[in-house]
Amino acid sequence: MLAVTLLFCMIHLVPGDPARILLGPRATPELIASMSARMGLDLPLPVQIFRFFGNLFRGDLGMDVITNRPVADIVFNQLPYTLWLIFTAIIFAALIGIPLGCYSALHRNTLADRISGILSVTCITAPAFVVALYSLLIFAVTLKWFPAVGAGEKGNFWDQASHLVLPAFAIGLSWIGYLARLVRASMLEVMGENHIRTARAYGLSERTVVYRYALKLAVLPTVTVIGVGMGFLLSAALFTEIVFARPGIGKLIFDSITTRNYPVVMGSVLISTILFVISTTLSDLINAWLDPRIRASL
Amino acid sequence: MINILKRITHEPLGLTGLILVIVIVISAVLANFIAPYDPIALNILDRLQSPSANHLLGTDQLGRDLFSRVLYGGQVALKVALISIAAALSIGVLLGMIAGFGPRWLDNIIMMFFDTIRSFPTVMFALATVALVGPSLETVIAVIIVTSIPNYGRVVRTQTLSIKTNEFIMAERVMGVSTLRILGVHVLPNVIGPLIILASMDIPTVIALEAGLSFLGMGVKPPTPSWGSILNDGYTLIRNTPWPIIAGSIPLVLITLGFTFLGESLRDLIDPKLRKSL
Amino acid sequence: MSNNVLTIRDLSVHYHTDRGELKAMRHINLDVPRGSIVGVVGESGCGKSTLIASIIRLLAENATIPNGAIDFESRDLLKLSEDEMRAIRGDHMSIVFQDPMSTLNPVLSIGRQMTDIQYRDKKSQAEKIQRSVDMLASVGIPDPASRLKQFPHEFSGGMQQRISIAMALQAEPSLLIADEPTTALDATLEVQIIHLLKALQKDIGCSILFISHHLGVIAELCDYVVVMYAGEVVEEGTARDVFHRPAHPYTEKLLQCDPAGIATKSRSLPTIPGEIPDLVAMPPGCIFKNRCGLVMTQCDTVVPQWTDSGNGHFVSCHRTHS
Repeated sequence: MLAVTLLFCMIHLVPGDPARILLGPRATPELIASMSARMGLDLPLPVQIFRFFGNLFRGDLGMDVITNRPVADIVFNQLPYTLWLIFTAIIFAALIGIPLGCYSALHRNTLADRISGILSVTCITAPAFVVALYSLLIFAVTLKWFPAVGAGEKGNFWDQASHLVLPAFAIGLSWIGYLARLVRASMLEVMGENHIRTARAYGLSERTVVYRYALKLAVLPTVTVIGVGMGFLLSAALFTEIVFARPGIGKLIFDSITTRNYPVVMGSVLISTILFVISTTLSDLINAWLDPRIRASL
Repeated sequence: MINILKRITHEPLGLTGLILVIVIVISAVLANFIAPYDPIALNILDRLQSPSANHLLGTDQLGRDLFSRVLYGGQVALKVALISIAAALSIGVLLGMIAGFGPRWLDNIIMMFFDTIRSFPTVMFALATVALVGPSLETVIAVIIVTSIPNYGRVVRTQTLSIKTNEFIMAERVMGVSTLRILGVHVLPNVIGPLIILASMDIPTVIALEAGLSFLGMGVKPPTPSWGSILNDGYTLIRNTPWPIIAGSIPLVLITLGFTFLGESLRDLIDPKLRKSL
Repeated sequence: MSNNVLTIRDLSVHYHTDRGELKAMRHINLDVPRGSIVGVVGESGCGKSTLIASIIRLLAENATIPNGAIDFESRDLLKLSEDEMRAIRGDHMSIVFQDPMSTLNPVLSIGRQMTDIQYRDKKSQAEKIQRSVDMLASVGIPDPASRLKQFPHEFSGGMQQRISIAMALQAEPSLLIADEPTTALDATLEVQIIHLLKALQKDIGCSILFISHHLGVIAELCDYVVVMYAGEVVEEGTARDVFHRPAHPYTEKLLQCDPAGIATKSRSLPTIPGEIPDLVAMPPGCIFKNRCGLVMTQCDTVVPQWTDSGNGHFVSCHRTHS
């Protein structure tokens, strides 16, 4: 995975003339020349890469072209908002999706199961920004139940929370469907296994069998899925932030693209990717730790 | 083929999916004929109207008929989907075969390439590219192609690898059968099934991606209608009228649902082992 | 009757399938006397699993019981509610399954599994742990106290099966059902497990219902033998009677086919030609008629009666009348 990040950085050093690109359409030949010198572009390529990494490790992602503030500052300033949003969305999706999947598995092929199945598929396929738009339309604009814009005042918990509701809902909705189906399939598989039959043969109550034994096992894949789905979560967060005009990495990228603020774009994308990679690795690790069979072979 | 079609139509889910897809595809293809108005014709006097007999879905802020814009938007969506998936499939299959059959170092390079692409959140990658190159439909298509290649490539590569070490393949190679023939006769047929399923599940994703990018203004250039750009207009007009949003989203959701249902029933048919009854 | 811990009379079980009613078990009679070991022999598909499932009443959803009674400790199990059954399972009646690796929960330590099933006891956690340790010691697991924290996959197959037996006997049930417990183990392990079961049975005084298709094991372990074929009990008696004086043609043929019993070398192993008849569209008459070499005219049309051919040796065959 580290190799991946490496390659990514390399790719970014390649396209066109970096100085020209970084300066964008505002570039004049003199500016390009001075920028190149400043960026050390006249130095041989390996040295450049070395310097890039050197800067990276020191947390220096370059300077914002417009405001001249360090990109790293800007990005890390906005990052928490996105993280909160994603976190809330996941919790929301899990709280509804997992019980739904469990219920479907226990009552399979009943009407409720089929309906929830179709609903789940529908939820999964609706693109995040469409859901965001509709929730904005219905809940914020028409019904005025929730605020439409921004993240709320700093320091005011309830205000921030109410601003979180709709965006988290927009992102979480498709995940509810996904988790529900996953848990359902996983539960059905676990319930068919022999050790569940043993538990029943020992007279353990259905409650114990289902909730303490089966469900715990069935939920394991959910963890992996969330880790891997971080990519989708980030993309969905991006759209949602823009629709709801919330601060965050997504909005940052969008804004800086429209203002041609390339260093910020690069910096934020880099950070997001790293986040993605971290979460995938993390979920692999958690999964391994939770299952004693894998733990033993480590 | 016909067999599969018949079996799909027996399942209510597959049937619904098929109908949805056909309806939307046909309406898009025939847009030139059935659209009541020119989608980019301005008519400021009639702006922001709600649906009526004249304008089935109302008009937007420049008086353009939304229904016509939606129909033409379908053309954009289909164009993007077809071109990008076809291209990604071809390139992916090619690269996958090369990676599987060729020398180890080539395989490593191609896999590194794939892994890099896959480690980006797709939309971020798209946005970064657009930032560098400038927004346009071509850019969107190119980005989608690039991000889709790894998925197809990996499937083909796995299949190729497993075939390569198969004993009777070694026998054939010793007898001088050309690599091309081996690939064509042994790898391709096994790969087609999963690839079709992947592609059909990808179509709604791709369409949604194009719509999303256009929504952000990174895709089609105005005044060309795309479902995404209609939604963008709708977003700015959200406090005035809900109709652009509804107009832009309906076809998007319907076609996404359609292809997903279709893909699900396809998957149930082609790979009954994975059957998860709804 | 009252000498039995388990008495099954006229029990039938049907499965509802797409093709029709599958009559998996028909009019079964079976006795398990107190303190004895009863073996159930039969090839695959004879209804052994259905038998076990109906005793502990964990049958599949599409199963029905049109007639019969299962008398266990003076109660008809078929008339009990689910809660009453649950009280019996694992306490008065317990079961050891075939493949220990899949029947033990892979993500819980065996200590946890063994204390969980003691949930009915009002003992302290420490007492429950001690009981588990004692049980593990009695089945021959070395250093049991420290092994309680380990997981099933950390034990060998033979040890896993011992743990299953320990779990089953922990509550000192009056009936232990063993469903082919040695089929998944190799021959040496099989012998050890059999000896273990014998010893424990003497110790605890329970009865064992031992299901297997391995004739040698049945002969060594069991006091009584029940022979099943295609959903019916065709013969029941003491092990000596059944093995030395088989009364049913199927039992005779089974014994002939047992490789261990073959005296002279030959190129091919003997088999019983033919197949089990269709249990959905059942033919009339005796169930074994298409494979029996001694068919008489009645066998075609009349189902044989369950008769005592002397000294509690029961058989279901027309030949015993003649």
